[in-house]
Amino acid sequence: MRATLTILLVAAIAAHAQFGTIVGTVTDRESGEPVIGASVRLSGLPQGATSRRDGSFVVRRVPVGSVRLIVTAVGYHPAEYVATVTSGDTLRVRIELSSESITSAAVVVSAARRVQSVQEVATSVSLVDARSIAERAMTRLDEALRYVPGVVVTGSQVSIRGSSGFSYGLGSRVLLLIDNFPALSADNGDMSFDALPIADVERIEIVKGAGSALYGTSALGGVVNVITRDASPAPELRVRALGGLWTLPRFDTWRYRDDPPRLGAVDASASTTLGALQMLVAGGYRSDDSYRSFNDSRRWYTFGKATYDLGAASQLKLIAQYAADDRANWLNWRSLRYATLPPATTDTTDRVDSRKLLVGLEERTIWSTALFTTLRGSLFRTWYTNTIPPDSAGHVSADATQYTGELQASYQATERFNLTTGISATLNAVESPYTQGRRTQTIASLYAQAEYRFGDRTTATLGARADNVSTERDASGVQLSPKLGITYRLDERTTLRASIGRAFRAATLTERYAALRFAGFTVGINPSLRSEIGWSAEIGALHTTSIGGREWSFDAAAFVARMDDLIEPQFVVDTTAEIRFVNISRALLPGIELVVRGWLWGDIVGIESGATLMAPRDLVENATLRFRHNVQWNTRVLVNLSQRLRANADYRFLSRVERIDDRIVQLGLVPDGDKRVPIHILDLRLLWDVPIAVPLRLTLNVRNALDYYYAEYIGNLGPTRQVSLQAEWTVR
Amino acid sequence: MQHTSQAVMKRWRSAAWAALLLVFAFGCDGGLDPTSQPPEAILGGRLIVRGGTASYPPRDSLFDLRVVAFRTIPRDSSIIAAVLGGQAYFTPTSVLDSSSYTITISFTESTPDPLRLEYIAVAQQYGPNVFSDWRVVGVYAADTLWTPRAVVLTRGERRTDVDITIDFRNPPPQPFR
Repeated sequence: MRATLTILLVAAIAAHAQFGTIVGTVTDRESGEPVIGASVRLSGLPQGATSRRDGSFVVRRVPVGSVRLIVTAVGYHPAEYVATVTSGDTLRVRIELSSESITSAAVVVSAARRVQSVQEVATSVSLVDARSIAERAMTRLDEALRYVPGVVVTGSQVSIRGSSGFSYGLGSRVLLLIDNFPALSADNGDMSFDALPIADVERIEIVKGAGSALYGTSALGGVVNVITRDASPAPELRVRALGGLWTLPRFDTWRYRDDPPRLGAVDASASTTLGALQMLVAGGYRSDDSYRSFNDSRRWYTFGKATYDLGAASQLKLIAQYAADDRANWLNWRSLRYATLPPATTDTTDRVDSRKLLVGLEERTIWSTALFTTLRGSLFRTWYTNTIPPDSAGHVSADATQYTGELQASYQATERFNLTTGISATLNAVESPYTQGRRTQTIASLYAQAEYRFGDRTTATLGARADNVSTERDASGVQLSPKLGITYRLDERTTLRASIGRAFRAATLTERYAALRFAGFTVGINPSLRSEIGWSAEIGALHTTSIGGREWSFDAAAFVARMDDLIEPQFVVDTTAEIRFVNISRALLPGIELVVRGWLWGDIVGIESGATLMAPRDLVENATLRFRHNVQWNTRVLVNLSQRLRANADYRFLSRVERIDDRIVQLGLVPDGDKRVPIHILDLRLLWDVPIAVPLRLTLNVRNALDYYYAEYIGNLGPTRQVSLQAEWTVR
Repeated sequence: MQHTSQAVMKRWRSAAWAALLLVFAFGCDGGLDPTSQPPEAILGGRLIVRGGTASYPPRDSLFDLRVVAFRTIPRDSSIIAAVLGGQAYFTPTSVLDSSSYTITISFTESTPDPLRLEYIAVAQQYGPNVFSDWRVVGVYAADTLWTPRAVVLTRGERRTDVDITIDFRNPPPQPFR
């Protein structure tokens, strides 16, 4: 590995770098007005720019030859532009964007660790863009993922195509990244969505299927990468305020208070560019009384992002985030009859104080027209404690930190051949009473992915990653995760894709070393846990066509995943009887997925609909896999009522979970825990761009408009109807 | 002007159609309903400890204390297995220091109605093995000789007079082999 990098660096330094510059403007095709804040990226390269107030942009240090510009902007259809740059010259371009309300940015960076258009990616990728986050008036990012085909969120646990069942978020089989920095907690391996700066997210990329070939542990079901927006080229202030309430439920026994519980949120961010320095600072506060008693929360966060150009060929990026969360310690309902109350034995004075800190530093250097490197380091710390004093029964606390370091090199050897390679190291450390002191886990990795374009139609990707996992200095072996992908451009409008890859998830420190009493049972340690492993494969097609003069896209995929050594809590009877995490399950998860986007009746009604059908099997018990929905269907309808007034609706359907763990109910751990129904959620909203001098948008949002009641997971009533009004200002 | 008006009307008509479609296509029942669930049966009563709290065994041999209602007379001490197999029902928490108990029995498709509970006992977990370290310290009895007395419950029925005497020092005959 080291030798490869040395060779690449020497080759780069020896090469005589030749660059040009692209300057241009981005305008609205219909009105001719400049498009502010459009992202201009070079396919496969790190260079890029954001359009200024007059729509102009400058991309420097562009390699000579043919390059492909990908231009995206919120509310516009993405555009691609092929330019030929000559050494030392400045190429002037004019890019026109067509407005589009239903579309997603065509650029992704997570699938291959470099800029690609969606058509180039050999696996299924879904995107959630800033507009759909803003329009849906969300206060947590996991809410955004609930609308993605093939993605199911239970609590704060994300499952892609059935990868996870239900484990209170412990041991996520989906990797979470924030701006490419890993963000799963070091102890539980779970996601902390409340820590994310929702108002400043540019897009969320969801790469489905095995992702360990590039990302290592936890990418068993896929990767979620939250990309925050870049600072504005001119001073900009954004403020968002939201206020709302939960309507009282229909059933008297579910009304835990006389007046509707309230919720509110305020987010503000300011950004600007001062010469070579781009800065963005943001902060937010949210408060929620909740539709359930003893489930209220108060959360606040701060977020900062700074980018500094160290000369023409190097750039430094720093992100920092701190979030604090004070919430009641809800676990499950008392019974279906009292679904908004906790069990009678709950200590309702107990609260959880949870904090998260993420600091990431990245340095990108363009060494030549062919080679650039990225050096990345991050720290992600999570710590929490409840209000029960230490040394008392029921006290919980943990302090966990993940340190990562990574060097990545991308080498464009020829116009057809690209190599991405890197080394990384991770240290997970936790200090907690339940782990009997400090526990550590280290992961050392190296990876490489080669991409070769055959002719004009076929691109093949072959890569692999080796991860050496060592827990408490006990090496558990090397995990080798290969991946092969092929895309074939059938014609200008149709791309076929196929991929197969292996992935793994190393057992977390909590799964290995947690020892505690839970609901009358003892949870015991199991230091010998093996990693979960899995293979996944898919074939798919992306087709765009024009119907009635409007563009429609169809994305279809058939997929299958085979997972082994899945870790689950089990009753173990030997010298003592206790619950332990053990490698118990083997699973097969086949399915199909179809996503359609387009317009009906001219430009009046837009529709986006995605369905996922699965048949997950537990191969050990020869039965349906527990805690999975076999059918998922999401549909979004947009209606343009006038130039300033729009209505839209989201409908989500999840079939009834066929199987749960009956023991939880039979042992009386969760009364009525087996009560569950199919899930139908309809969200309605009305958006009004108020015609005043300062751009103001008001959004009336009704979530779960049908006030449909369902169990999101065992003994947990899903969110009931919520009505909110959101105001957004942007001052430039 | 007329043309503009027609276009606006068309938009609103489309919106109305879309809204109607949504309501009709996705209209459904209201989901979970606590009032329509099959009525549960309630079994409960008083717990009388012979000799009072002074008769309690040492805490290191009193891991747990539960009231367990068996559909048939148990033949081994694997109470947890009986509960997991749907052959027994127990109090969701320990009844140690409680003077009464309540067991809520959900009638599922596989639950016979009426449900005959042949043997209702108070079980003490005396060792660390939650699966096997149990002994009976009280039985719902027909007489002072601890002759077990059955209870028959129907869906929705409440029986709160099933009083049980607990005797740690002179426990009833153990049904377990």
